[in-house]
Amino acid sequence: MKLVILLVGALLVVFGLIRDGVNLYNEFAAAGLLVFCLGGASYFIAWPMSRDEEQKWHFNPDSVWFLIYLVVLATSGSWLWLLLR
Amino acid sequence: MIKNVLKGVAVVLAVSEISVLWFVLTLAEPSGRLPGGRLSGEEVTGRVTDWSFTRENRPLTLEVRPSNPYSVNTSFFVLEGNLYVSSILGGDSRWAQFLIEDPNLRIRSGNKIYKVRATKIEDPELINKIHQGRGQRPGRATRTPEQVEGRGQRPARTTRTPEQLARIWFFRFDSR
Repeated sequence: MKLVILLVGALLVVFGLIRDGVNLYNEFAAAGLLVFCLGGASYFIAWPMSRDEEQKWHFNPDSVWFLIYLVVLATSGSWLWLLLR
Repeated sequence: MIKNVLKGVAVVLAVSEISVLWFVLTLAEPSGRLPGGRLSGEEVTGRVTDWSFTRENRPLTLEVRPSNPYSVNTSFFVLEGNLYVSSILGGDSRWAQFLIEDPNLRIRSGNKIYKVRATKIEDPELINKIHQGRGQRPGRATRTPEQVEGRGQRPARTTRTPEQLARIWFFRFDSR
């Protein structure tokens, strides 16, 4: 399912770029990026810190990737909202 | 495997996002629809009574909010020598909000800068006259897709509903 979301997002981006080129007004690219980031973020869902079996706190590197995808997700969401409002 | 690919994509996305943000935040001059800061150019002193010459230089650039300059490119029109600018989004446009707070602004046409004061047009007769002058009666075409083709913009709506027309704010600019 995650892979399907990723592929749909990537296809939308490619379709948008072929249709409208690199353009701020490219709704398909914005929507594709949003869907792709949604799929990407789902692979890295993790809290920044968690306890291991010995109850010691340790850092989850996946949370960095999760955060990056969340930030790009928010950006593409704002971009799409600006285009469609 | 797929996580490694996604990590690479995340790095590219993060670098792209930071680059775009840096570009937008450090813009001194407006670029397309992106706003900028203080305008540069030769400041013209003296009163202008006929703005017809501005038609030669498009677009017109507005620099509003003198305390912390905010500049945007905008379309304009000249009617009977008077210079008018419209805000299609009405009060939802940032620059229009700034003009309501402080009507003093500078405008740039070509490479010359003029100090002006904005007056929001409230007179319904004048607004109607402006619409007629611009061919923007309800349901009538304003710009054809062919006219906007090649500008790097998506085609504008070719007709505006009465609600959309009612939403538009008009400002007249006079020398100060």
